[in-house]
Amino acid sequence: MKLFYIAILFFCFSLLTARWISGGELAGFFLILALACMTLLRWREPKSGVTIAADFLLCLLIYPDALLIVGVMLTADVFYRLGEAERERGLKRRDAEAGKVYEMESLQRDLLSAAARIEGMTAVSERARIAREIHDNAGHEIVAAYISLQAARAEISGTDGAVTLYDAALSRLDEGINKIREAVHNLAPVSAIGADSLRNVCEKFPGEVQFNIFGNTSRVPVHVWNVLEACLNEALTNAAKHAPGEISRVTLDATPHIVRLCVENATPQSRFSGTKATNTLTRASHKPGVGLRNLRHRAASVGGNFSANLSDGKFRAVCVIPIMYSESI
Amino acid sequence: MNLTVFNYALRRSLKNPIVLAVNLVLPFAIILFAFDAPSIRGENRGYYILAMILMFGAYLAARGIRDDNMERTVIRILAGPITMRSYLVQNFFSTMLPVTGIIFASVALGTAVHGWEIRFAALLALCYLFLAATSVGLSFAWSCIFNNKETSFAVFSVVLTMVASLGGLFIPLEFLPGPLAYISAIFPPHWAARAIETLLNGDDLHMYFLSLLAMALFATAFLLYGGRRRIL
Repeated sequence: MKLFYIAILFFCFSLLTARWISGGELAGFFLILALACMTLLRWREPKSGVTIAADFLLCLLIYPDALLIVGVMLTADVFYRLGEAERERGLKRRDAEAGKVYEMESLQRDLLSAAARIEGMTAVSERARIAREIHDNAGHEIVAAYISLQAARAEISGTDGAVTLYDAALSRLDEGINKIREAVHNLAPVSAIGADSLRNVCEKFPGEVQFNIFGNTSRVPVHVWNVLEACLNEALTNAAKHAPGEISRVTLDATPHIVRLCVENATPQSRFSGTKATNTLTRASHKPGVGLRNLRHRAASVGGNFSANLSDGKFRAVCVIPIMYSESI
Repeated sequence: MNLTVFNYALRRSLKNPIVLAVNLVLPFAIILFAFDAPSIRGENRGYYILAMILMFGAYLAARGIRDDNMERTVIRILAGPITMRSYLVQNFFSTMLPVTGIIFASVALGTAVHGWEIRFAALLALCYLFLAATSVGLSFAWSCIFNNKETSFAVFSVVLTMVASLGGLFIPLEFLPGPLAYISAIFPPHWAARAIETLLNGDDLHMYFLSLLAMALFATAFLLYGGRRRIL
C-alpha cells in the first residue's frame, strides 16, 4: 500500500516537472517547491490546523492552476496516510517500551521487597536454629546433669558447710536451666517460616485449599521459601480471580535435589465448553500477566523455573527450584 | 548564567577551530585578497566564491546538531523540560546569529574596500543571508539522513562540489547546457547565483526577489525535513 502511495506521489511530481520543462522554469519550479513544502508539512504535522490553512491559502492564491490543487490534494492524502500509519506505529512502539519499563519497575520492586524479606527470614531462621541447638543439645545435657546431681544429693554426707555449698550450687543450676528455657522460648520465631509459612498462606486463603507436603523440607534454603511463597500467593490470587469457589490443590515435593510447588485449580466449566473460538479466546485471555512473568524472573534468579498453563480444564502453576544450586549461591 | 540550548549550541560551534577558520578567516581573505580573481567570462567571480564560502561555513556551523544526534547528547538534553521544536529552533538561531554577523561584517568590509553602494551591499547581504539559512536547513536535513560522521562528510564533499559546479557559483549559469540548466535549478546556490547576477547586471529586482523566494522555500523544505528527530 505504501508503494502505491509513493507511486501516486511520483506521478504527481512527474506531471509538475513536465509542466515545468514545457512551460518554463518559473511556471513550474515554484509549484514543485511549494508542493514539496506542503507535502513535508503534511508529513510533519498531519491534520494540523496550520497545514490545512496553508493548503487553502495556496489553492486560493493559485486557484486557476488545477494541477496544483490536484497535486496538493493527492500528496496531502498520501502524506496524511503515511503520517498516520507512522504515528500509529510510533504509538505502538512507545506503548511497548512503556510496558517493558513498567514491567521492569514492577520486577525491581518485587526483587527489592523479596531481598528485604529474605534478610528478615534469614535472621529469624538463624535464631530458630540457635534455639533448637540449645534446646536439643546443650539444654538436654544440662538438665540431665541437674537430675543426676539431685539424685546424688541423698548420698552426700559430711560437714554442714559442704552440704550448704552443694545445695547453693544446685539452686543456681536450677535458675540457669530456667533462664535457658526462657532464652529458648524468646529465640523461637513467632512468625511461621519454611513450610509453615506456606501452610499459613493456605490457611488464610478465603477459599478451600488442600495442602500436602511430601519429602524432607529441612534442607530447603530460606531464600527459596521466599520465592515459593510468592508463587503460592500469585497462584492462589489467580485462582480467586478466575475460578472463585473452586478447590485449589497445593502440593509441595521436596527431594534431596529439587523442591517443586504445584498449585492447581479447576476453572469454571462454562469457559471451556464452547466452540474452538471460545477456547482460543480463553487461552488468549490467560496470556501470562506481569505477575506471572515476574515470578518467572524470580524463579530463574535462583536457578529454577516457573510455568503456568491452562490444560484439561485446569489452571496449573508449577515452580521447580534446584536445592543444590541454591545452596551454592 | 543558565546554559540554555542556545548558549550551548553557540559555544559548541565557536569552540570548533575548523568552523572558526572557515567562517572568520576565509570570507575576509576572499574580500581582501581574491575578490578580483579572473573568471571564464572575465567578470568578477568574487561574489560567487564568497557565497560558496558562506554557504559552506553555515553548513559547518550547523553540523553540531548531527553530533548531538550521533553521540546521543540529544537524549540527555531532552531529559530536561524542553521540546524538540524548541531545541531545533534554538539550534537554528544559535547558528544563524554568528553567520549573520559574519555576513554583515563581510559586506561592510567589501563596501569599505571595493566601494560598493549601500543599496547594493544591503541586497547582497540579504541574498547571502537567505543562502546561509538554506544551508543551515540543508545541514539539519543532512544530519537526519546519515548516522555516521565520516560517511556524512565524504558524501557531502562530493555533493558540495556538484552543487557548486552546477549551481552557478563556479560556472556561469548561461554556460550550462539545456538539461543541466534544469538540474541546476534544484540546487539552492543556483538561485543565489541568479540573485547576484541580477544585482550585478543592475536588472529589475523581480528576478532577485523570486530567487530569494526560491531559497526561502528550499530552507522551509529542508527545515521541515530536518526537524524530524528520532530518539528511540
